[in-house]
Amino acid sequence: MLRPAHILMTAATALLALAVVMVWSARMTVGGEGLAFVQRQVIYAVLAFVAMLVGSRLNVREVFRARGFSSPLIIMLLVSFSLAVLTLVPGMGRSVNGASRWLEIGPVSFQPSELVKWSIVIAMAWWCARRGGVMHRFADGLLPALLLLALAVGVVGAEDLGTSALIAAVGALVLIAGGARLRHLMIFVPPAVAALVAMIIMAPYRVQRVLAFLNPWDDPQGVGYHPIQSMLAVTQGGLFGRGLGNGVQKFGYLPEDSTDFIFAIICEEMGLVGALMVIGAYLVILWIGLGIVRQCQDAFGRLLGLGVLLTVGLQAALNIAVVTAMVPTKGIALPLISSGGTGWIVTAFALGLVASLDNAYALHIDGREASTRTMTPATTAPMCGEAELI
Amino acid sequence: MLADLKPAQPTADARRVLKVGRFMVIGISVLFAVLLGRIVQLQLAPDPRLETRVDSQHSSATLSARRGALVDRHGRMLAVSRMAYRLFLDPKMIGDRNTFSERVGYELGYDPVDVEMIMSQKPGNRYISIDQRLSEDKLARFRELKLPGVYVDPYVVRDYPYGQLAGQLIGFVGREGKGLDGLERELDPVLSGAPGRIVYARDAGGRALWIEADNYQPQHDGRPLRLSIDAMIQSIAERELAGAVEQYQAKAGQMIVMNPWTGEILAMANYPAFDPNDFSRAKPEDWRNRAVTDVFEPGSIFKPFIWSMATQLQAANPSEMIDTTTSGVWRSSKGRSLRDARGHGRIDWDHVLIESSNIGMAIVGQRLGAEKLHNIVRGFGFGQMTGSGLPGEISGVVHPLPKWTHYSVTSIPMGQELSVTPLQITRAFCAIAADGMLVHPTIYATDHRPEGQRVLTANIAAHTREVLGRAVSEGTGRKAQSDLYSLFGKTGTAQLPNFVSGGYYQDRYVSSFICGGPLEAPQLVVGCFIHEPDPSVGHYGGTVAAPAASRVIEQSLVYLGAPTSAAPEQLVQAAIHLDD
Repeated sequence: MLRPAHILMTAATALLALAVVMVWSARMTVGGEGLAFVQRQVIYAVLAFVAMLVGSRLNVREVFRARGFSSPLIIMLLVSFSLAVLTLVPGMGRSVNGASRWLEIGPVSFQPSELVKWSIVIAMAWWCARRGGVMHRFADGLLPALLLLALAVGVVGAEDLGTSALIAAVGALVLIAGGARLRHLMIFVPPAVAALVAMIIMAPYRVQRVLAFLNPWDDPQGVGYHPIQSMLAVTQGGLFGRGLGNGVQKFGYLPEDSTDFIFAIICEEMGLVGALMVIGAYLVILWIGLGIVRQCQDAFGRLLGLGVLLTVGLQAALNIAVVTAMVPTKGIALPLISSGGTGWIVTAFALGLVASLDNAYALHIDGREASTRTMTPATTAPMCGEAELI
Repeated sequence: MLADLKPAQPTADARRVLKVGRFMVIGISVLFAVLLGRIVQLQLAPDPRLETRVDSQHSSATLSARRGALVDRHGRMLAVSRMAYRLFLDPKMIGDRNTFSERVGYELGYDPVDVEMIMSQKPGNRYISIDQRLSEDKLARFRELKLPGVYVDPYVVRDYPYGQLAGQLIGFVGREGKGLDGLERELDPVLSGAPGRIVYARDAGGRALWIEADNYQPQHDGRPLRLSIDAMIQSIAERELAGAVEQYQAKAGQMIVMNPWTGEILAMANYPAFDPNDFSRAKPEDWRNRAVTDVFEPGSIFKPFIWSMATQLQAANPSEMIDTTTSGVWRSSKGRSLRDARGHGRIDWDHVLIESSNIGMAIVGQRLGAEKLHNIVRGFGFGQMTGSGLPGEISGVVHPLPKWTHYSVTSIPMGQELSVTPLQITRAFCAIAADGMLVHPTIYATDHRPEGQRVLTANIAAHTREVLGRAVSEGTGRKAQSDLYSLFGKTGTAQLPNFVSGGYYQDRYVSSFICGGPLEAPQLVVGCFIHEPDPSVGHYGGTVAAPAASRVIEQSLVYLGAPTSAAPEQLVQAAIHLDD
């Protein structure tokens, strides 16, 4: 029987498949580097798919039930935060486009901010689920979560403003959904704005990006280069695009063509149809995911699902807004599409967790039907997420 | 919606999550719709400045058309284009400076000292040419070598495989591939073709990606042209011409071989020769094809045209006896004094031509009168372009009738008071050979006989040939006799007119001879014109030009396989002679 989890995972898999093709196309160069890179991408995509399957079979409530330092949540937070701090240490982080966001461990390079992003989603959901009764109170309800969120935003924001804004937005939305009062959160808007302004002033390249967004044609070879080349790629697509592989922009004109600006290449090569396919897949994930959240009967599962969906949806919208030059250029990847193997794996795993909510619900329904069949009254109503690892 | 949210109740948190979720998912969906609208907007109405960016992603290149070859009537390459490779150095790319010149020298066969010198002469230059035309084996060596700093640059060159053969006729091509002289220049529009054009996408580094499908305009290669020239006959003509000019220490000479029936020019030789492969080293005056660009006063060689027409117009009867005086001096009715080389006495009209009597021609010229003479001269095509289409051709000078004086009726019949080009007079002679049909000379090979213009009846033409045959066998052209073929021809020894003081130079001549053969069925006409031979060696046309012309026609007829009239034992002799 086709369940929401299947549709959700199918949409995610479709995006991953498109990602392999588009990253391959975007990496095309004169001379070329052969198939080695593509093989790596295929391996990452397969790993991401496996991660999604694993995620969909986890009992999220059981996994995050443990308290103290044995809780995987605490370990996740500690590891991701320390790694994020590590990128700030000179010599440790790999600098790309003037921002030090990458860590290299062996053959794998990844952005710790990605880990922080997902850790915070889980942490916020966990806190709200545990403190559901007192979330309307400021001091013992909202404040501890808010401090953690602020810490995350600060650590990530030092190098990656876009991701930290995303973390702040998703974190705040999960807190509201989890029972926090809107006016309590409002108190933190003025200092947040002040911090934002301060960070922009501290890092001049951000100011440049803002300026480039306001009028890219003032300096088309400098700060305006990115948005102009990105818009150019989009304009060249038309309804059906130039055809897969036939884009010109990827040949040195559009920087970050396989990562942050891959959507421009999709528009150029697959046209409006390609853009509709990608956006359609995200919309399927969002609406199907919302349906899963609605039927989920566990507070932690609901909030976790919501956080994951909002992260994917907002990040995708933000990335496309950057590509179409509607907001200033910032280093935000298109979820499941932009090249960067670890990003695919983590995002796919997170969507797998959303799917696991539906799997748990299905088990619960099955269990109830089974007990109905055996005429045995249900002693306990198993809640979503209580299914054991299958 | 968010503002309605009440503080969470344990029972209500599911609803709260769903509210926030719905609100955000709807919000993100709306955002996606807006972004899609933005994509459509960018595609339908892009900033016009973006268009200029698109242009900069494309480059165009000219596809040079291959220049058509010039081939002789049998397809032998007279002028052909091919790719040549220029070897050049880029000092910036050189790896090991110390061993570089030795390496290049050793591997490719250049003197390392020369290489060093050329490099030191142009410091900072990144394109130092060390060989303009790399030979095949050096190119192969270069390809094996793969030495950084040494490169080749392909370009199109024009080759003239036969060197100086028909050099002035063919002309030459400049460095940019444009025909600068001769047929190369005249036929440039046909030969050069039309260059093509491609527009190709390029990457940010300027490297070509692909050709845009609707922007490929292939080049149209130039058409090869088959000339009427026969390289074999041309080489015979050039060899014999050079021999005659050098033997008589003359200044210049031209030799023309024509097919009298088609007007095809089979050979057109000039001396001094010039090699189009190396045109810049020759004197510009040697580039000229003087067979059509220069004129001379023909003299006696002109007599057959007047003679034949006078016969046809019955101004003189072939058996009529004409008194050419025994003294060799005659005074015209207008008081002009004329001379023959010697007194011939009373001779018949045929012998007037055989002995080339000026006096006899003048007497009949007076009978014809100015108007008829003028018509005869024009009728044979003098004073007009021949229609050969050869570059630089001029029409020669025939004065219009009103400008004629009482001298003219005696001067014109012996080839004075007019000037002709070698091609004009050779062509006119073709009419006698071709049963009276005057054709336009042509430089293109033709497979059919063009419609000529009748100037003589076939009978008169045949009779003129017979008389001219006697001029060769017993008259002024005896030195043109061939063992293999009966020829007919006319000599000419014209003094050069002195344009400064009037009159003629006493010691400067144009010695000429035109002949056709075989007498029984003419196939070829050869005109030989030797300018200013050394009079101490010889100056009569019969001496200077006739033997060369005779050898050319004889060898050419043998080459063409014309049946000989010679007896078998003569043939053996001739074969021995040819072997020499």
